[in-house]
Amino acid sequence: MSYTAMVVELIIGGLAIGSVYSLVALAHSLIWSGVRVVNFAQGEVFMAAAFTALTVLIGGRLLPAQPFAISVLAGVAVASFLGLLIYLAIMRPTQKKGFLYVIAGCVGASILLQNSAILIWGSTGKQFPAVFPMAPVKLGGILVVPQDMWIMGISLAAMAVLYLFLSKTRLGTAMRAAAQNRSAAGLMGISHRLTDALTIAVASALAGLAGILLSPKFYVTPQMGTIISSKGFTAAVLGGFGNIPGAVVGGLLLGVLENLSAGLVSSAYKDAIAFVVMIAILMFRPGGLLGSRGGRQA
Amino acid sequence: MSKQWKGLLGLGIVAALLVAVALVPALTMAAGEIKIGAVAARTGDNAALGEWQANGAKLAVEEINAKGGVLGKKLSLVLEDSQGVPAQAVAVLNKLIYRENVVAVIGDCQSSPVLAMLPVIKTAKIPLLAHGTNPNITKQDNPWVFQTRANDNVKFEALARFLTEKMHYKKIAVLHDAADYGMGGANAVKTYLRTKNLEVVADEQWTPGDKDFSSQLLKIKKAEPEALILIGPMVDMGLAMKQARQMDIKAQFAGGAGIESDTTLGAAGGAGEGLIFAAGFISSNPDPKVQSFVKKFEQKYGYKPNDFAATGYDSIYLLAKAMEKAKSTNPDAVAKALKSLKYEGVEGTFQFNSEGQGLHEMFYGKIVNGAPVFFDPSQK
Amino acid sequence: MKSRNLNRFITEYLSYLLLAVIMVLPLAIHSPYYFHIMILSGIYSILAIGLNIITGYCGQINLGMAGFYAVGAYTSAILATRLGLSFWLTLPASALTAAIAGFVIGVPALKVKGGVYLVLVTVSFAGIVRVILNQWVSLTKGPMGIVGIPAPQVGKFTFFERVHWFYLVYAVVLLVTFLASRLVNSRIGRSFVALRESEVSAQSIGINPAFYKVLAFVYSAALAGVAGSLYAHYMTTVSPDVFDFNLSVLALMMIVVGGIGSIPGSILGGVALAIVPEWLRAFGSFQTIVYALGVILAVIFLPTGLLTLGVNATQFLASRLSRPRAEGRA
Repeated sequence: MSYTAMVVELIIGGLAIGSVYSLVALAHSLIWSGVRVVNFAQGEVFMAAAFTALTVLIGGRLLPAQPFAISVLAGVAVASFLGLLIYLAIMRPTQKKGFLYVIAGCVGASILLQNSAILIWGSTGKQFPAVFPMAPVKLGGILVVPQDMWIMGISLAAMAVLYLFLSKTRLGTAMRAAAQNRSAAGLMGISHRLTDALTIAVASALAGLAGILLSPKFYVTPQMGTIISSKGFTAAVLGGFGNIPGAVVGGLLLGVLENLSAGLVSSAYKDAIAFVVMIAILMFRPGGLLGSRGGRQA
Repeated sequence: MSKQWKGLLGLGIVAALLVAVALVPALTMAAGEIKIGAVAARTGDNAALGEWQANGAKLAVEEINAKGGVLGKKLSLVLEDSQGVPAQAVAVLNKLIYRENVVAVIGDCQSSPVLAMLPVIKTAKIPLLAHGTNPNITKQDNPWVFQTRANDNVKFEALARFLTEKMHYKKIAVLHDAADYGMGGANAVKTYLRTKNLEVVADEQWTPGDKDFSSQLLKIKKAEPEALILIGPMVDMGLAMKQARQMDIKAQFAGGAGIESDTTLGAAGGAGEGLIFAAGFISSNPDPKVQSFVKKFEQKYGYKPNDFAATGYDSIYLLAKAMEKAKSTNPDAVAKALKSLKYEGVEGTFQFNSEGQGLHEMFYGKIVNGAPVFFDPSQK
Repeated sequence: MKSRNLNRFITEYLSYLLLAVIMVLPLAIHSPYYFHIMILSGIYSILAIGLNIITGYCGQINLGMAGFYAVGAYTSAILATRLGLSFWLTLPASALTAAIAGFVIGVPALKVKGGVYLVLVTVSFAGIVRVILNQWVSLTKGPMGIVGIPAPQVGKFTFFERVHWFYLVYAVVLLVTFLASRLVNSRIGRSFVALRESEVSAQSIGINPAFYKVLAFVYSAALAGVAGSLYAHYMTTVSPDVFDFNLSVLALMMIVVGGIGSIPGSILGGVALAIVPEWLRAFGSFQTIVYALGVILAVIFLPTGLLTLGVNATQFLASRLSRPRAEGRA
């Protein structure tokens, strides 16, 4: 295998996992830009969607096995519901008290959800059936796994749908208006309660979709959300917290950065390299890559 | 609502919580029972380990009690949760020793809590049947510790010996997690290979929690190994094998206990076919003792036991045998009896050396048609 | 007048009252189990005081306390086992190395803009520390950890019994409380608070934000280092998995539950988060769920931690008692 082929494969692998980071980062940035709050239990929304989709896909006594598309819808719906629940029960009451209370409350929620999942689905986790073709394909000397392409493709498609929703629909425009200026939007008759709830629901759906997409590739476990959600948060901050294109760029960049440092430098120091590069980027761009220099404090 | 009323409401909630705690009935043990404590993570990230250990131990306690118990008394198991955190493990160990008055303790399943528990059992003079596999556990000059799983050196030396001597592989790669088990195991493999004047052709690792190993596997692929040893949590090893085959890595897979589990094979999705493993406990071991344990365990819990369940089961039997031999539950006498005991358990033959290491030999197996097949020990 | 006395009491003397109550506990408790929990409470309290200085007083979010705690614990572990240094040298050495780490992370932390960016920088710092502890095997023994860290000695006397440890830890807590109370009630402490409230107005009255922010980072890191050193010598073993993200979050929970921006609140939070999980063991496999519910309820309903709750309730009862026929409130 040539060196160039290896680098190309490293980059492709990085983009594949990075597109999932992007989805989770989008969820974080969307919530921040619209509602000015962070859901630190995002990983558990991700996990709950994966478990729900799995349960619906396999079926049981109450419900026969459903096709993949239906299970995705069910998982995404549960993710939206759970995100809204966390927002109404924890994030909104604590938002006024301060950021620290939001963090502590969300961490409480994430412990609660993880351990509830252990009680419901067991601690070992479950195998998600293969829904995408997994046998590798050779494209001009480069080995590509169709599953990764599917994950990347669906992620990008979801981002495109989000973009169209935000820019072309009335609701999306209302959400953007409320994100830019809450009181002015209110004067225009846009209820920020509605846009807040909508923002949370859409963002949680994205996180849920990410969870379901990764499930066939990984294993479904109660802890599956922890790492991905922190990577998603990192990607969002890197791109400029609250900046929608920034979240996409941040996610892809983080995926590629991790893969290249593991593949070309050292897998032992992969995380340390990623951390150092991130701190260095924030030194030069304190508001993240696409974050505004003089923008509001995040 | 005024601030004060809110404050009172909060106070009320705190008080209600405390009352709820007080109302939860404390488990009272009948007099004349022999209490054994079991420490493991039972909630949180490593809750699975505690569940396996407890299920194995519970089965042994039931069997022993059904046959009349030990020295005319019933055994009773007191489960405590360490969450795999050393300070918590020390807390529950103290609770077991000084509040529950247990005669012996089994656990924890992870090594760092065990290492933190060692000074406490030395002071309290209570035997500890440790389920962590770090070789350091039995190197602390502590006469009260008994390691009931093969330590990482024993396990991975045996595996490396098998791969080099029996399979005649020269190009061996290691992929492991950056935690106790993975780093210790990889180190044992490298140390053994050096005695044969061999070096691993690739030594890659992942951060615990990572599930995408593509970059590490690309480097391994470039090194073209004949065999790839995987060391880490069960799910992760399975995912690594699946991803390796997707990347067209053709090396022979190999690993230690756990890699032959249904969990790993399920996560590997067919990629585990043909893998070679070395383990103390193998559920397909034709030994009738093992088969009877596997059958009973599967009937009771609905899944096959793994080595954590087996070590929970063996630990209780070891303690029961030692008490019978000592004709006493006195910790000192039990510890002495354990030292001189030879016991055929489901993990193999236990014979504790002066350091407290109990298992010294490994079984080998191979995955054929998706199920572990046991190599006849006479062949090795 | 009365309320000023009360304020003084809450900000300064209450800590000593709390510590005095804790320090007579050995008259009532004998089980090593309780001693262990109280020793952990003491170590947690130091960690919480440290976090409160940077986060509670200076307003800089820090989710990397596990990193500073780890630097302190490993400094003590390495110096004691490799060089045979005594606890009385390793303790200040740990404070020093952790303080240096605080400076190293405090300077880049100055640059970034606000909450979420600070979360990322501090979490990354703790992550880097963990990678180093895992990988620099020749120094740290990697994930296998360092064992056999010796107990402190004075002449021929060794701190071996739990009760000795109890008094040693609480002597350090007392010292830390004294130093921290002095700091927060000084010009420096008031500058921290001014920065927390508004960086612009603080600057306008001549407070240099960079200097004070880095100082707060260094100070709180040093305290985390002290806590880490005590942990290492008490547990006699350290390994990287102890110092994970959960520990940083635990420290945050302590100050949120106990009281943000309060020294006695930190002690209260440290003690509460060591003791409450032990009570919850009665719930068996539901204990973690009950714990999480408790945290959520505390975050939502406690006004600003247990401390203010107690103070509010006392004030409320006092006002009711002194004015039994007070007009009804809306």
